[in-house]
Amino acid sequence: MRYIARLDLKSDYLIKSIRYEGLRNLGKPEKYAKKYFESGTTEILLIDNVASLYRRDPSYDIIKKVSDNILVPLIFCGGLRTLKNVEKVFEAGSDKIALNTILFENKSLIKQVAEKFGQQSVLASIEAKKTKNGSWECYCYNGRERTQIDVIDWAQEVESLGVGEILLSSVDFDGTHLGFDIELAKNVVDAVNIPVVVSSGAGSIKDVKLLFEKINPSGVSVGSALHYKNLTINDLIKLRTRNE
Amino acid sequence: MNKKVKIGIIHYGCGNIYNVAKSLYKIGLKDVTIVKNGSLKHFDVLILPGVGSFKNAMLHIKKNDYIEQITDHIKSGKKLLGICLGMQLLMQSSEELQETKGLSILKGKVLNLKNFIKNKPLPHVGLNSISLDNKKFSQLYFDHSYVAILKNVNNNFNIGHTLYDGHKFLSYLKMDNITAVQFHPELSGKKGLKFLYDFFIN
Repeated sequence: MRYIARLDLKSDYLIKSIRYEGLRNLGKPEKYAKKYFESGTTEILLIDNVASLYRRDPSYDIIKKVSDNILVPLIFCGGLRTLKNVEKVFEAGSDKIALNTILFENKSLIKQVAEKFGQQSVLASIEAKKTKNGSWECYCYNGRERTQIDVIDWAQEVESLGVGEILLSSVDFDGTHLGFDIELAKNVVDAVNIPVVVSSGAGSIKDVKLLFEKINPSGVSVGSALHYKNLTINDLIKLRTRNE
Repeated sequence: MNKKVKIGIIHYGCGNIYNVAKSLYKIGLKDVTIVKNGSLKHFDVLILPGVGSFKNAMLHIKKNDYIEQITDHIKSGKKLLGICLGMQLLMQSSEELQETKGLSILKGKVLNLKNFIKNKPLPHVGLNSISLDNKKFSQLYFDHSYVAILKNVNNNFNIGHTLYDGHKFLSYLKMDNITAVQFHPELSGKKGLKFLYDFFIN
């Protein structure tokens, strides 16, 4: 069981939104990263929420600051458009990257990254939103724009394009603390043979426990519930120890 | 521990290898060089890190005439540590992306785990443990789709294994001055630091 502390960024600040709206500034991301690393998180996920939207380069400086403070894998997501961007993010200290928005314009970036850095270094980030007919649609530009592409179809497509993992977020559950969209997670986990990290919705350790009882994803990512201390890394460690 | 030991980390020309250096600094080693195309001769210990694809790493190694220098380093009895991809590079070949020749320092090949793993997702990502000398070393971070398979394991080898989806694969080997691991000590928090500390002490 992997538990990944998720840090959402706007400019140089850690923020938290609810359903991708209403951003709140929480402070310096490197401070949180250091704290979560020292508490025993197994990985850290850093997401620049506005880079794609503003067509801005990723914040290499923040990646370096976060990376300097930890000795666990760092996954970076947000605003990556070219192989050059990706190279610079790795040089700054990230171990893996996750791609979303760019893939709806240029799928070949997956192959380029995988050939140079290995398949395990590239994740597809999927932002899912439930549709009226009960399926899920992929969103991009940080949950703002529709793609009219079905999440399950897309999960299978990115797997065949060669990503090493899927980072699954829910636009409906993001920041709500209402628990995970387990139905969504189950459908994606069942549809692919690569690891799936489930994000969005954790409000307490009970939600994480339920997720691992119902399905068995490769990992779980927790953001604001950690920042607001509704659950702690230690809770996650205890849960893992019990499951092993 | 001799903290003045000269360590060279081979940079294959891409990716983040700063993490390995960062971990070495943490355990008090000061003389750490990330070497992209310079000579490897004056290092006491060489590290082949685990970043990149097999093919890309071998291209860089060949371009800089590193095959001979790495082989000479080992022949002279100096230590070498291979991490993840760095462990796989020691073998004769890999089937990653396309069949590619390796350093051929050890007899064996690198195969995709999908040949053996049927019920669990691949790549194998996350914390797992190594069984070695009847002991279990846990909470080590793995992230790979390929594994090294040794051809002839004799008494010169000390071997450790890891279990995933019921399949036992090679995750640790030590033969004379060569040590190689499939996990990432630099990404395994305190347990990883402990491994590196022990490696450099002994």
